[in-house]
Amino acid sequence: MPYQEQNTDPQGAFDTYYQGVLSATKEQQADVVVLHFGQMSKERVNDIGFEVESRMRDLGASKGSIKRVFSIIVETLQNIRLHGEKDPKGVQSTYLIVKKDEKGYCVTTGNLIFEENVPSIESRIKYINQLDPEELKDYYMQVLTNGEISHKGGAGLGFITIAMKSKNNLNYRFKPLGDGLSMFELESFVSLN
Amino acid sequence: MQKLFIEESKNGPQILFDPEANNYSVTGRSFPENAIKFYEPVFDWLESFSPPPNAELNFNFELYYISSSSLISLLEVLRKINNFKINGTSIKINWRYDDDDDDMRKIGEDFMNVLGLPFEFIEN
Repeated sequence: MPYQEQNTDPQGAFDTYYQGVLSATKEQQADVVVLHFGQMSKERVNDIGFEVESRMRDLGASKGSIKRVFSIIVETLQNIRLHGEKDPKGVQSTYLIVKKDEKGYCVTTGNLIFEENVPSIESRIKYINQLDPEELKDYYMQVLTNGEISHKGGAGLGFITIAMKSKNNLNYRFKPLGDGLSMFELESFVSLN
Repeated sequence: MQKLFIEESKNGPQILFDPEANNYSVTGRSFPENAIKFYEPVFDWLESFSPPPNAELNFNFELYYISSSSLISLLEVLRKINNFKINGTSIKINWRYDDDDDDMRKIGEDFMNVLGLPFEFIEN
């Protein structure tokens, strides 16, 4: 059944989507480093950061790649806490999967946003993806030095920082879930040196 | 003037600005969710502090991790430190970083270039 016909339960659609992502992950030849599904609290952001750090240390990751993945996780999750929407029951559902394969580490997050915000998010990521590293650094300096904090407390540096730490293009996906809400999935890679 | 002391937490650095001991340091990880709120007491302290005449102040920064919203607040902290130069105070920033942490060194270099403050880079 196409999703358009079941548009009254965005939370259910979100859960179903996550289950799909999870089973796809399990089929891949990748080690799952950390998984989270559900409400993302302030404490959870800290805990996940430290959990990933210690798991990566156990996996023998370099200090540099641990810091880069840690940074991506903190920026992504704080972005979601700041801008992510809640479902009709007031839950800010989020999922996070950190996995490792022979190429490197991959951080995937999914959260709810309003469909009307899809174009602005998409154009920001597209803009960042087409910059070369030097242009990205210039753009970062420009935002940093003109740094104005939005009313939500964001500095506008989140996606830029994620792209700089990842050194790869950011992958993203949107999927309408009903009730004017959409899934926003963001995937960043940290290649092994 | 009373010293400023903020204890280190999971996502906030330890901050000690102690004029009596001539010790000014920011140490740890900085990724509080609301960086502006976290750094507000630091801004306030720096705004009301007037260094003694001809003072030489060394500020030690030893940060392991800085989130993007903390970067904006730290730049503001450094701007306020930079303002002491108007009164003839000489300022130096000691920027300590992990030996293999190029990103952290670059953050220091960016701050130095933006503010024109003297930085010493010290590899741990």
